[in-house]
Amino acid sequence: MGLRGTVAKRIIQAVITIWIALSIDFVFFHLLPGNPASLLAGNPNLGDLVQERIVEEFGLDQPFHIQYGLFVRQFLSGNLGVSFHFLVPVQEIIFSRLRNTILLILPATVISIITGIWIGKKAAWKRGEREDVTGLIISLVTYSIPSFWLSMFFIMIFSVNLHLFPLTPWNPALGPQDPVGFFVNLVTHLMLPWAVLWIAIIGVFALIMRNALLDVLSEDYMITAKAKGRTEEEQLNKEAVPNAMIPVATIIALNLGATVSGALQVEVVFSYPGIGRLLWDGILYRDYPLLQATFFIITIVIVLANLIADFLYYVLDPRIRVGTDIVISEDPNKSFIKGLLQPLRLLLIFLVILNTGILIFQPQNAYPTILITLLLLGLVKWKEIGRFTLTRIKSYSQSNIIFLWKNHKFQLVTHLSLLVLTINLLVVTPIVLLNLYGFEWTLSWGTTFVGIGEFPPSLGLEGIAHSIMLVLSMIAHPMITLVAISVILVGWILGRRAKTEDMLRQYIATPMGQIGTAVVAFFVSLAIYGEVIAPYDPERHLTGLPYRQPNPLPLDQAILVLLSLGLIFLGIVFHAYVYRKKKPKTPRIFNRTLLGLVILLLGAIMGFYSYLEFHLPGIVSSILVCVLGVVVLFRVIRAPKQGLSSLRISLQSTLSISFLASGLVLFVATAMIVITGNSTVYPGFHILGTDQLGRDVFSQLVIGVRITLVIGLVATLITMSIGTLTGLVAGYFGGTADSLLMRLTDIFFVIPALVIMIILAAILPPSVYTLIFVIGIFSWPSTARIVRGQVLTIKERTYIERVRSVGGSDIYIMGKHVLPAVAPLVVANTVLVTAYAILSEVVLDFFGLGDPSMISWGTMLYQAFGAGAMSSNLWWLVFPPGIAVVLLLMGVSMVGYAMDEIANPRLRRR
Amino acid sequence: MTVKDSEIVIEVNDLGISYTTKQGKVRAAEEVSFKIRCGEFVGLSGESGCGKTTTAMAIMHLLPKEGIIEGGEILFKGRNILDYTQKEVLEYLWRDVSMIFQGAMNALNPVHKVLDQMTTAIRIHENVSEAEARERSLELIESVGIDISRADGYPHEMSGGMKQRLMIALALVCHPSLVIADEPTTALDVMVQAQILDLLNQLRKRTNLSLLLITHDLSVIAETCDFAIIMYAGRIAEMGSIEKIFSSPEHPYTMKLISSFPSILTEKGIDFIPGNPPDLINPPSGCRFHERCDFVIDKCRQEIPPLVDEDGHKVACWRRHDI
Repeated sequence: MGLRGTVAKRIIQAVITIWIALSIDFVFFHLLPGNPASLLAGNPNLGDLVQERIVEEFGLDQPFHIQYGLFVRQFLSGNLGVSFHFLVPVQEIIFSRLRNTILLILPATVISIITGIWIGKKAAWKRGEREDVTGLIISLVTYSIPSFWLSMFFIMIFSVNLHLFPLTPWNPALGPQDPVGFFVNLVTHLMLPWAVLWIAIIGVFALIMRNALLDVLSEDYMITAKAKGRTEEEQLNKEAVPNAMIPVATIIALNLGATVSGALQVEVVFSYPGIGRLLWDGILYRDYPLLQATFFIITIVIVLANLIADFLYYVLDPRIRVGTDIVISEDPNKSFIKGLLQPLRLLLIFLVILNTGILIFQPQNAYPTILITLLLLGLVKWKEIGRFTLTRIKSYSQSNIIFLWKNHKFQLVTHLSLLVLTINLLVVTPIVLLNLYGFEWTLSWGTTFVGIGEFPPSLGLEGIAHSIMLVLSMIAHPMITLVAISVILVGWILGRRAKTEDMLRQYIATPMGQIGTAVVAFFVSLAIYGEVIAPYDPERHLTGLPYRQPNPLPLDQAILVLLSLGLIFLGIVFHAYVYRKKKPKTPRIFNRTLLGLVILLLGAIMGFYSYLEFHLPGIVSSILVCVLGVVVLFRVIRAPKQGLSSLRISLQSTLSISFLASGLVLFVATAMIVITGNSTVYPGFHILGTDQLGRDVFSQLVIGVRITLVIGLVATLITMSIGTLTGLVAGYFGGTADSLLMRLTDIFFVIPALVIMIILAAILPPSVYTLIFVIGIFSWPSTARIVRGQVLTIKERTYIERVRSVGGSDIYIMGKHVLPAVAPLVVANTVLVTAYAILSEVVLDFFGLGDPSMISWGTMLYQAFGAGAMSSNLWWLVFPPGIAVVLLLMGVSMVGYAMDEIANPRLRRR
Repeated sequence: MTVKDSEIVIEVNDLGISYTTKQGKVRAAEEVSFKIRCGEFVGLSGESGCGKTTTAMAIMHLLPKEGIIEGGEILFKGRNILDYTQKEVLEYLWRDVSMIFQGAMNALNPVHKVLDQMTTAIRIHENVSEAEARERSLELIESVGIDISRADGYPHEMSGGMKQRLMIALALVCHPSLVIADEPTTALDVMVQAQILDLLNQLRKRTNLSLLLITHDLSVIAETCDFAIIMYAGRIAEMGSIEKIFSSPEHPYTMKLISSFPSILTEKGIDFIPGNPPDLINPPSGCRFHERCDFVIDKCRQEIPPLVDEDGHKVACWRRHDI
């Protein structure tokens, strides 16, 4: 394919992307309760004449499809509607704002790309050495800082406290008559925003470059380069980097959405007159035309930037692979498209699309069409369904069960749980589909499944109907589903114990994995022991005076805390000193004993306090932790006694580990005394002060972790399901299915996810479900790509050929062979997506789109921002939630990266 | 033998190389010694994992980080290259010894034109003008049988055979004294293989080049080389001239290797060697081959047989004359 073909293809794709963005825009704003015309009429700001003009221009009194046509035409001709708030046509404001935003983004992005690529280069070249670790830590830390919080942090440090930069926002209207003064004014005002944005996005670029370069460095031509006698520098700069730049250019372009969303947050905090601030105002005043136009303009800018990147790509890569899909399989799978064309199937596909539409927009009324679809499916595929059911049932025959009991006990447990799950879901499905209990039942089923609700809701039925429904509800209880799923997962893992253990050992051997696991475990225990740890009810107003500064600790407690921290610090320093060169020298038996004791003691401490508060989940998990400690100790006792004699030799490392362990236990114990004791002994004691309503900040911080974790995990679950399925189908079937799905993925990649999330969350009623839904359905493209890539290599393996020749169906092969092979990668990616979901949740909260009835870190920051915490220097309202977010995200992404290093075949050392 | 000059290009003495792995030390090569004279083509063969490529990589200073040279020396024209400084290594590579890589498909950098890759190779080592380097490269490209008009293209525009020939041209571009060819014909189809072998044979006739040819295809060695070295489990089992090795092999491993090669013409049954090559982390005592050898005696199990030279034919076997 020549240049012209490529260009044409790219432009067509850009046009399609813009069209889809426009359609999303249109559909979203018709989701609003009430029609646009009545919305307009309800707005007191607009005069009658203006209203009439809008109604006429956008045909708001016309039928739906005409409205759509008019909408597209108006937008493409540059008429973006009239702002409810500013009362002028949107296009009059938006372009000057766009200019300002570009002024902010461009310098920061360019510097960020250059520095990021430099860091990535250094890290990849010195893989596993100090440079690499430093580069990775820089990347992960910067990646984990939400840019709005960094902006607040910088303003408080540099503007409020150090008076280095002006506090007033930049005003572009001031001083253009004096070019020098204008320039100075511009730079002093923009220095901080540039710095924040630079830091916020540098990590992404560094990671992209590092991974791309690692790929290149393992290629054969790098050996040729070395053999040719090129110096190291030349090998890197002249041979490796030109190759790595090819993927980097595209990935950077695809990540421009992230850059833009960073800029939006920065603008909001700095009151910078750009698009982001406009978005903020649009949300604040629910100014829908403004939001619509903002989204449209941002998408166009990003699409254009991507087009430029594509041409860059063309210049960089002599192979001109752009657009031409690399043909992996000989057979382009024509049968797939032919199969689609059969009328019945067409009808089915149409129904499925219809179903999804109804499910998203009006889930209450979805059941008739879903029922029809299922019936039709049953009619068309009754043979297959029958055969499938028979084989499933046969696997529960007596002889099979006996065989499993004798040989694979874990598999038997998995098998039975699967049966329970099937029955459970079989009951749930008709109840949901037939709307037997109404929408409420489904909702409370879902919430209980997620872990934040009660089940069953009051049924409101009489007599026999009531008892039948009660029985059905018992069978369909979400706890059963949860337990069955977890047992299946555990059984699956235990059935593959050798491989999992091997991976686990590799994982826990990496320092990143160790630190990440520790951090995540800390936050998870915060979530579990929330009520035990929190000294006050986080929602109670006036537990103290509003805006109280944090109380200093009493002297004796301060000494204890300092002592424990000192012990930990000493342990770490000692540890780093002893382990600076060689592998650990402490005998394993000693390490294990200490580990067991620490776990046991921690469990006991937390159990004691949970018991004091009668906090059931706390007690249960403490018991579990204690059991874990006992198991570790028991294994030590059972293990052959070896290495005890070497205890004396490695006195230093033994000491260092003992310091660490004792410090940790002491710290937790004193922390619990300080936290729970002080609020009763000294009334009005607030370790982190109070907020504007006199609520205890520390308690909010502790309770806030829950919602963040829940939303992060559930949204990830949705994302991973969509992403894995898309990637699996695209990669496995190839051909038309592949190119269709991948083009769709590309489009979703390009459309700025965060902006779409913000707008959608602003339209839908604010609640936890909105957040989960919004984050869940817009974060999947990266997963789909990764999974597809891996599936492509696996499906070419000979053993897949073997299964196919034996007669395995596509679904069977995908489920039994391809999915397990990509599973480690998916797990690693899940963790990284979780980090992204948590970050999105915090940002959405900060935009005031969180659930107002729940405490979360983002909402805390939103309220602090609204209360003017920055200019009043109320650091205890800003620093703790932000630091908590950064720590949690760092922990999660460290876990993800440590897993990725092991699971991702592309990153494995060769 | 077509030895025009008895000057020794490279001499490997008692070379020992090991890889450090998590499971322990892998002794990839032990007591490897051989010489290559100017203009001589030497074939190096053996099963996968017997230390062929490791030895070659040591000569090229290309051992991975895990590879450690335990002892011995590699003399290039009398100087030990293992003592070279960083700078000397960079000068030595490609100018004195160059390499044709296994799987040359990926050995050419995809983002540079082939011609540019050759000219840069010249200009790294010699102080010549761009135009001169170009001219020299073009001459070489023509001599490996590729049309000059194709030279100004990218690697992906070439076929596999063309890439392999260009790789050979790239290896010759600085007029090295020795070229190491690591599996130059593997993964190519038979016709292309024949072309490459023909090219190598022409080189042998026309130039004064020495070549170390690494392959497990014994027929390639028989076709092109003067001298053959057979390695087994990191040690040299047998070495000698082609005639000696192929007509009267004396090490049981070589015999098996030759007889396990299928022949197109005769209806001979294909033989094979039962068992697997030994674990190089805990190599067996005595002769490395004793577990799979048909002629094993107690002495084989206890003492490592030395490489005994008889009339230029070196064999490491206790029962060399009994078989």
